[in-house]
Amino acid sequence: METLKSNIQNNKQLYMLVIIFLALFILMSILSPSKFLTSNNISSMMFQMSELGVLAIGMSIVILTGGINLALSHSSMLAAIIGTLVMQAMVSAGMNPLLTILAGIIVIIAVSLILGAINGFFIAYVGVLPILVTLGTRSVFEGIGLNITKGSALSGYPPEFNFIGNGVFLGIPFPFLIYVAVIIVSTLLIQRTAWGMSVYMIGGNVKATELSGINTKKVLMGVYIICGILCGIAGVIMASRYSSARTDYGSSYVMQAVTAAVLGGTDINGGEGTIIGTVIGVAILQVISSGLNILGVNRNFVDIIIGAILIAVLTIRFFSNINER
Amino acid sequence: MNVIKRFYRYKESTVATIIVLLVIGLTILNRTFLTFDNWASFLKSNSVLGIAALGTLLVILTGNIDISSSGQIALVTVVIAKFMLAFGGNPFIVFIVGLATGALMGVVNGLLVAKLKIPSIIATLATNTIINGALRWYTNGAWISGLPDEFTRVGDIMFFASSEVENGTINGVPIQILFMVIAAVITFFVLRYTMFGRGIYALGGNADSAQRIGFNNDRLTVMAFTYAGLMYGLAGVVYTTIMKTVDSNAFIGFEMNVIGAVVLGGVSISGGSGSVFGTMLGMLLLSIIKNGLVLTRISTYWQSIVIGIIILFAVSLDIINIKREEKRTIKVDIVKEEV
Amino acid sequence: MRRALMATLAVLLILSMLVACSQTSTSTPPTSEPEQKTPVEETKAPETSDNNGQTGEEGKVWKIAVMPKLIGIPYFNASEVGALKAGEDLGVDVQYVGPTNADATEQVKMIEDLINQGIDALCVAPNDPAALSPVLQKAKDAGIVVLDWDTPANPDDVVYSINQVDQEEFARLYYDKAVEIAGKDDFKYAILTGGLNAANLNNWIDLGLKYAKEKYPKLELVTERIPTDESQQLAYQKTLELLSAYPDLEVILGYSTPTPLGAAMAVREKNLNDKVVVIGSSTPKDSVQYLEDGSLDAGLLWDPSQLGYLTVFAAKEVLEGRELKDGQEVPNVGKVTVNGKVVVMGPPSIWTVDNAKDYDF
Repeated sequence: METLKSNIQNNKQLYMLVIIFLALFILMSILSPSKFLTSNNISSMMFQMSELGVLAIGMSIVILTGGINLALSHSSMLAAIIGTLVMQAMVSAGMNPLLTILAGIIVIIAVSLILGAINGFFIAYVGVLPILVTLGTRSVFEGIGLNITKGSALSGYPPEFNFIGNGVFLGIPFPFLIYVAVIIVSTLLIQRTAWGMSVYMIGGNVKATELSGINTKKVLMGVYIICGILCGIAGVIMASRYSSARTDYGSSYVMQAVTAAVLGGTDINGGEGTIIGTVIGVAILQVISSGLNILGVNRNFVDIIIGAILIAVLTIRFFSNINER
Repeated sequence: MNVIKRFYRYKESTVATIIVLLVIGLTILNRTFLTFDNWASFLKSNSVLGIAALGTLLVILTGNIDISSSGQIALVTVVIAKFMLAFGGNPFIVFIVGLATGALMGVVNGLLVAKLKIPSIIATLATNTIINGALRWYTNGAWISGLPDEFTRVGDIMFFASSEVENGTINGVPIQILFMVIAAVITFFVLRYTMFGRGIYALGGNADSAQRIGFNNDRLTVMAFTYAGLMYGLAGVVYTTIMKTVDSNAFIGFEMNVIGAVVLGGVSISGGSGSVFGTMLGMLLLSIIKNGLVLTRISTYWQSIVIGIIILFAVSLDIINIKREEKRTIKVDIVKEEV
Repeated sequence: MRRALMATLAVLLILSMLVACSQTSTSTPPTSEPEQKTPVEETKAPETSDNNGQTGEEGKVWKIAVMPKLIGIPYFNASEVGALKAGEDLGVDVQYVGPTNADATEQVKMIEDLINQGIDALCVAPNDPAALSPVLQKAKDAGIVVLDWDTPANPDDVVYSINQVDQEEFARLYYDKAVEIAGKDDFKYAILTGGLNAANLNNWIDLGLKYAKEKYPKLELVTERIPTDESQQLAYQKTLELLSAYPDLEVILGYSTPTPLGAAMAVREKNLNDKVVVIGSSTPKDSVQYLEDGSLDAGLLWDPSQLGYLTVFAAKEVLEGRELKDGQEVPNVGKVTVNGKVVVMGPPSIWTVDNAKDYDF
């Protein structure tokens, strides 16, 4: 009964989000039809939202358990930096470019998986609150990255590596295809498996979940490892898209990912939310950002609007919840 | 009651131990670390952090979080600077204006959280984004200087200064440190001896039972955010007395330092437990780490690693201590019952 | 019923908000003094009403986008003034847009949006040359003329690279000036920088260190470059710490504009104005008070508004099929040197107590 009720509520929230998204999309199209509603612009919006989208999904899964990951972008970039070192070495050794790229991707994802596990260890097994752990690890990851790069960007990939972040496949930006794959897999994982169910339960009530016989530590560890893998995927896309890796790339994504997740209906205290909601949240942010850029609006104003929309949506949600009761 | 008291003492002793060890280590590595001059100067510049942390402390005690401290402080500095340029720099009036601006922002945050039930992390994230965007849009990032002497002179006042002025060394207590101490003492009294203070602990500990005892939770939340706003207002004024120019970009990212100081001091981020003393220790720890890294000539590339590891170490140690304590109390309870 | 009501309410709210803001943004261009820029506003108006950049009867007005590393800091505000003035003087539509923090990834996204907006030329101050390379190639493929300014991009990505000064000359000036003011070449010194990630600052510091090694081998750098997060307060704090840690410190070099001022504040507080030499890149208006009491000994910079002007001028020249020539006289800027793709505006300016007051940035 409970889940049914929350399902209906989730659906209502989704409707509202979709309507907001469409309204914004139509509004932007009316304001600048010849520039916003072009295949070029839509394709570049797809390019742009992919990396944030993957990170935001990682963030959502963490938030579902009632956690947060402030080390999101720094995990991505530290992994990408180490992967870049490996690819650089292989390129200079004259190895096969495809093999090099494959090795690079594996290293990036493996490293970020380990970084995720470090977060997970402190959170699940030591029992420190996620916001504190990731405040600390963020600083550590950044420091390690700085030590390796001395602050500059590392580059020197095989030219084929470019395709992952900048290529177009069947008319669709390749990073967007990766993003779609991530959406499908994570939706299935979170919303269709028993493990996903336990993620929601932990977010609702850890103690009760533990009493019902679920190993919450293991689940939490898994959540942070998955978040790590997603950081790695985002790291691969970013390294390719910017053909380099540097400690501070994407540092503004952390708060944007939280914003997208919450906008998309994820409860910051955990236990409630959907992947698809986050995906729409990311899309809304993207339409606002691209649309206003095309209109030539000052970036500071874009920030103000995103903040205002966040408050507006949550306020509406509050009043509609009151009406339900 | 006894258990809780021991609990507190334990939490603060973690960070206190780390501080003592660091002080000993740093003094061995560099004698200048443990001089009055060095402490006075780094406490002066970190007084802004300390005062802001006192504000965030109250919010965290209620079980909420405030990530808009940076935006609020920046807003206050810009407002008082513009005010002074327009109406002159009577320090007393400037203080009132600064505190009022902060308090007003605090009320807004409080209402968003208490009345609209927007989770505090999101509400303050949004207000912070809006404030920072609006500030930069308005000032275009230009520095505001040429503040009246009447005000800037306040920043150079020292107390208990000895008569002989040595070349360049601080020989008294800078007024900023005094402000921080006064703010800490007031906050201590507010938390310990007022209904409001007790309400905050009750609310953070368990909102439902606080309501049942008869506290008005919404009002407490608004008041906590308002108190935080007052502190950010004070922090903004104190910052301006130090720097004498205002840069609206100066505080970007500062909120993480503030939260870091609060939680390092053993304040539970889920609310209900923590103290002014602990928060001050947390501020001290962060300041000492940052000060010490330059003094001990540790390469700058290592600094964020060292800071991160100390944070991880301190918070983990805290948790391990709490768990041990919990186990012990459970045992004691069982023994008692058996008897 | 209620659901529909709520949804409509939401849509209405957001629509009105957006309409309100797009109106405000048309009436107030992103500058601090809108009243000065009425002509620009006029040329800008058709762009928001979506006229594809065609204005009036004279036919095509070139649309030039100038992108700083970030908006909202005094240095880039000054170059904005120059760029917009050039737009007015030369009859081109200049759009000055940039991210709110110095993040290369944000720049990439904004450039992609600019390409879709339809511009003729893009002048960019890259936060990172490598990161921007793919998107700059995309811009070139879309037929956009790409230049860099302030900080060099990859040479392959641009037609011209507009440099404020000769990078190496500027790096050397720090040391030559320090030795001159200190009156000796065996002092101990420290370096404060805006951030460890800033490519151009790192470049100047590295070039300078190399130069010092050859020319002034007796100089001693007491510790590695210290980051100050582009904040005057942090620079002030770090300088106090440096002065306690290294009591025999004689020279502080500050890179990035808030840094030398913070250092000067600390030196002043410690009454070391005559003992410690502070040199750094700073904007003159903010430097005056420190230059006056001697806590800051020299500010090194160029006129960023001239740099903005030159950038737009160069973009227009390229759009109209002209080449820049070595020694060419550029109005409002002066003679520039051109060496292949590299355009150098001129020697750096040195602010002293005598001339700093004459500038308004």
